[in-house]
Amino acid sequence: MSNIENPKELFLDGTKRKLWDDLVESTISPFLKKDYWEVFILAASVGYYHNLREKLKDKQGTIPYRTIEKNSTALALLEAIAISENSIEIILNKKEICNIAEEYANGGIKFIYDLVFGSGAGSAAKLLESEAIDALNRPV
Amino acid sequence: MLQVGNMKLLKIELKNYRQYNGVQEIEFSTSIEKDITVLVGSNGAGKTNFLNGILWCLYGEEAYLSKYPETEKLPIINSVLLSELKEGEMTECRIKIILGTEQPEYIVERTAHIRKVGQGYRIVDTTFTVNESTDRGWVEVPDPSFVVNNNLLPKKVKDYFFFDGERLDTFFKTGRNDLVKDAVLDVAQIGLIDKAFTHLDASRSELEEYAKQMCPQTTDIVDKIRVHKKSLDTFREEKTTNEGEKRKAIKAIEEMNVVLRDYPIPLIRELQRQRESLEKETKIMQAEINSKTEENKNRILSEAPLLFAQQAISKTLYLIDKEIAEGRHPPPIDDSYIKGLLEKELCICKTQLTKGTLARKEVESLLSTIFPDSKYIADEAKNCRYRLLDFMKQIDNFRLKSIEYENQLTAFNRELETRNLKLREISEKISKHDIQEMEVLESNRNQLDAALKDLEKASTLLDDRIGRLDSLLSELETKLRKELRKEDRAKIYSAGIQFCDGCLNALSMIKDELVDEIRKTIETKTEEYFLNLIWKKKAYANVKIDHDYNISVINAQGMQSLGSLSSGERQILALSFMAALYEVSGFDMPIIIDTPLGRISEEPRENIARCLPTYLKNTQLTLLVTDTEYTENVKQFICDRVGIEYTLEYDEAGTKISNSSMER
Repeated sequence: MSNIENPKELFLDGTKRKLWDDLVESTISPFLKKDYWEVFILAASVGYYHNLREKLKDKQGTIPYRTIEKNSTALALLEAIAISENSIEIILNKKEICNIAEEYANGGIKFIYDLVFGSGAGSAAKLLESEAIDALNRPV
Repeated sequence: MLQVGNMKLLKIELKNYRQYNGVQEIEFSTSIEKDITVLVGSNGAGKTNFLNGILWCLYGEEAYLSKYPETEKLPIINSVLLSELKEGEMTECRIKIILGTEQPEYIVERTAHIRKVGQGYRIVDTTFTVNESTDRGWVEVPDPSFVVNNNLLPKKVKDYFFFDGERLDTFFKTGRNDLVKDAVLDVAQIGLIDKAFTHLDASRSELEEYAKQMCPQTTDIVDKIRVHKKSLDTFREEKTTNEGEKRKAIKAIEEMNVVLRDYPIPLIRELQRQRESLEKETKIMQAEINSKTEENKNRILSEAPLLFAQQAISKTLYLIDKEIAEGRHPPPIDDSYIKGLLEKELCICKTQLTKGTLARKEVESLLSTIFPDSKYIADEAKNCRYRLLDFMKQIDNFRLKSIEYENQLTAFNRELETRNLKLREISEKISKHDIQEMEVLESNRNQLDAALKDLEKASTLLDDRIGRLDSLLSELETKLRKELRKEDRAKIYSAGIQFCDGCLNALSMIKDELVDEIRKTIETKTEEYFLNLIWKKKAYANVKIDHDYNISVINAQGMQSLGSLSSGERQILALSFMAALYEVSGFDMPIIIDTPLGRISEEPRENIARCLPTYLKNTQLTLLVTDTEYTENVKQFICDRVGIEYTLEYDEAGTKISNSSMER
């Protein structure tokens, strides 16, 4: 097996901690009571879609890597993002894969937050749906 | 008063310093009964430079040099010696002072190394050492200046203990009350209070900094909470009103339904039955649409990560398939097989691949171009590929389901529209019935219906607003709790700042009182000594030092007369002031006075000679006097206290010091 060690956890940016907390705790958020890792996966893919990669200023770990590893969909998605940015060889370097995902999630989370809390009444989920459908229909 | 110092001058050695040619030394008188040393010399013999030499040795500065430019003064190195030097030749001038309480305890030595340059000279460097007597013998101290200032003779008070009598009256020149104030403060030894003050002030500043960082924003947050709560109450009231209106509208509609259900005209009854059935179906359909919409929303949220990462999934699949197609991952032949062949020194085509041969090197080189991790990459890529293919299927499935949903939604909406159309038709039929009240009833019913729909829309909007405000209030309340905790800490800092302020005020008061007390004592003593020493006994009544440290001499007529004192009178005032300073200070330091009696005429001079030693008793006193000052009458008054007497004799070679005590 590859010599590169798996990471222990995935980091969020401490300066944006409030965004994450609000999305899973606010009663008007469609992600109320979801786990952080679920929002993380969405934020990473939204960040990738909108090209919002952003380095973390204050790394705080809250998502154990094994949570992602156990969910094959989640891990495969992050691998796909990383490979599409680099080359297939990166597939053995889970640390680098997670690093790339963290930066995309760091950019994507603000986008999602603005969608949910910045929108007018009753349309938070609709806007997200609309974005998702746009993504679906964009030519590959 | 705290006693500081109590060091005595034991011996001084001057080598080639200014007028002093060669090594000249004196021993100071140190006994309690005979504690006065006298140096007698004419003008220019070197009295003032003797004093300068002591100051230069101890503190590195010669306070009493003449005001002429450097080029017009005597060089620091003896000029006769200098003239004898050749160009570039080196020499030195040195002053060594031995101090101690009884026995030698410290040797302070300062040396300037001089090089002859043309007609003049250059000081190449200066060394300054202090050696202390210890059990291990003489040991050089690491910080000589510190030792001189703290253990021996503090620099800040030197001007009150080593001074030129003829220059003393600067204290009493107009506008120089700052000098008087400095003198009082310097001898008051309030250094400890000043240190405490500085420390407390620094602590206070630190606490202020911390308090600023706390910066509680509770007022701001409380205001926001108040505003939002008010808005929330308004929305809730509106909602309540809204719900009330809805209930009224529903009840009114139901009442109309009851009337129409039981209407005597069968057609009306039938139309009403159809309407109620259609409305029921519409409700069910609407519920179905809502359910499907909710289901679709959840489906989208669940699949959204795949949708947003579609490009990445597609590109990655393409890359993996390309690597496979190019035979890179996995490699066509397992490298362990090739390694096995190489161990046997065989190629796959049976060619010999002996170690060191060109063919073998080529095969080994080819082997090294295969990535060592290639096998692992292949395995991972394979697994990844299966999942990505699943993703693509999921996305395709999603696309199909979305189309299906859209079609379903369109169908439902169409159905809904059909039913709504039928309902409108029924309503029209009922309202256009012959019976007049039907039109009114139906019109009212439609209005109520429309109102009910509006109320339901408004209700949804209010629900959303209430939800957002609830969320915002919850956040603000969390923030408020956090700020209140900060406020508690801020209160502690505030209490600390108040405490510091209290202590600072108290220290300030103590200092002011202490200094004022000292000022008054100096004033009293100065007056006492002045009136005692002055020869015009009835001319003056008081000497005052006011709160601003202005000195005034009040004559017998009650008028300020400082400005009209003669130079001799001013010198007496100065000596009186110095004696008063000495009395209140806690410094037990030797006193050296240069030309104490220079401007004073015979009678008061004798008076001073009689009184001054009394005022300065138990003090090692050194007087540098001219022969005209040191008259027989003056000698007579102080001879009991004079331990040693020296003569400074100046000729072309320089000044020599000789012990003239035996000659007395």
